[in-house]
Amino acid sequence: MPVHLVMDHTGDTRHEFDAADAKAIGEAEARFQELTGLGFTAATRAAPGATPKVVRSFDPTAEETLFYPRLVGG
Amino acid sequence: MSRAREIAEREIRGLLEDMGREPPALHDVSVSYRECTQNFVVELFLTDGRRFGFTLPYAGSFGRHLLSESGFAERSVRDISDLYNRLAEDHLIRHDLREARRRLTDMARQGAPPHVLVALNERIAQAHAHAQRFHGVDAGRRPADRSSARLRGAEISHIACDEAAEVPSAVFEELRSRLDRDAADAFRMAVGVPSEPSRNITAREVQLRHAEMLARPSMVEWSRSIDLRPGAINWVGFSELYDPFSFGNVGTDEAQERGLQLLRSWLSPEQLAQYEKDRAFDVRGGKTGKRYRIRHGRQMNIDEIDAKGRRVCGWCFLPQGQLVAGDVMLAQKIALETDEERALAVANRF
Repeated sequence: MPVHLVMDHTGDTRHEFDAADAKAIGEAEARFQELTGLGFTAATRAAPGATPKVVRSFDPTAEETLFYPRLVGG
Repeated sequence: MSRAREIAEREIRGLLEDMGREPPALHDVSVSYRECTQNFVVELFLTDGRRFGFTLPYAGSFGRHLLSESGFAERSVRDISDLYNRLAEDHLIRHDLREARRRLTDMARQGAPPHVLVALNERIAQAHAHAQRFHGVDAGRRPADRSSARLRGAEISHIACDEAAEVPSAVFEELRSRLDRDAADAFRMAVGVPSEPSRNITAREVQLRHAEMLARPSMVEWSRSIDLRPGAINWVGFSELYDPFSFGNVGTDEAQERGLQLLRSWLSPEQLAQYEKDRAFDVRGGKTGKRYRIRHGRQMNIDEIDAKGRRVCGWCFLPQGQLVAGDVMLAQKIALETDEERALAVANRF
């Protein structure tokens, strides 16, 4: 089942959704738009251990999409 | 201003609790406005005697909100969040620098080898310079008043008379040529040498100070020559020594473990093996192909490595918010591998 992993102070929060459920996909897309609008970067990967890829648009088929907040200089 | 004070206190307490540290007992909060600089000055007085202060420009939205009760209520969450995140990072850096100096003292007492002490000292100097430059953190350096102007040369000479019983001479000689003032202080404490009474400095000491100042660049050069190739350094041991710089101590234990699990699941098999062995892993820049080493930590934990495996420089960037070390390292990895240019554009080089 596809999952959105959102980094936060607890480590991460996971949102699973059913790729066959249109309503769930709509909610997932809304989450994607909201997070990226806030400055989060979304990344996916083809397989465990593979090099990640940054995505700019919602992909309902991605098994895992990871969101991390905007980067700042430390 | 009473409302500003109340909110400042509440927000800061909440922030420190979120960071997973014991919140300092807040004795008083002072918010004042300096007409001449058009800055707000916020000072937090802790019950243990520490003072924790920062300034806010009137031009900033936070400043404007402070002037108006109604505006204050309408302040944006983002402004407050950015402000306190920054405050938290500064607080962590100050804390970790203190811890690092304490660690250096302990190591000197325990007879750690000179190259390790010198390497750690160099790291402290880098962190201190970074903290001063980018975070306005003084990190406990004593003010340069007349009484504290006793020279490193004088202090180290004093150690030379007393150190034989407790400090291996090789350690002393190595440090003598390379240590900065803070480490000399730490070393003096480590061997239990009492402070000299205040006195005027001599012409010879002025010359010594000047010579040491001129020698500083060679310290930097030396640090660049450290061999970082796999196997050249026991990175597990090295990481343990440098733990005070990991800046990883935020969040609960559970959150930290969760972050590390996520990191491990996204590392390549080679990176995972390297991380398990060395608490550091290498990534290739997606645009330039340069090699970066991400050490366990949250800040100041990325080294750019040249073709010979030597450190070129350090880079510091991280995702906003109080994320645990595993999350931060994963975001750093993805950013360097997929959008290196953008990551380095926001990063600070050190």
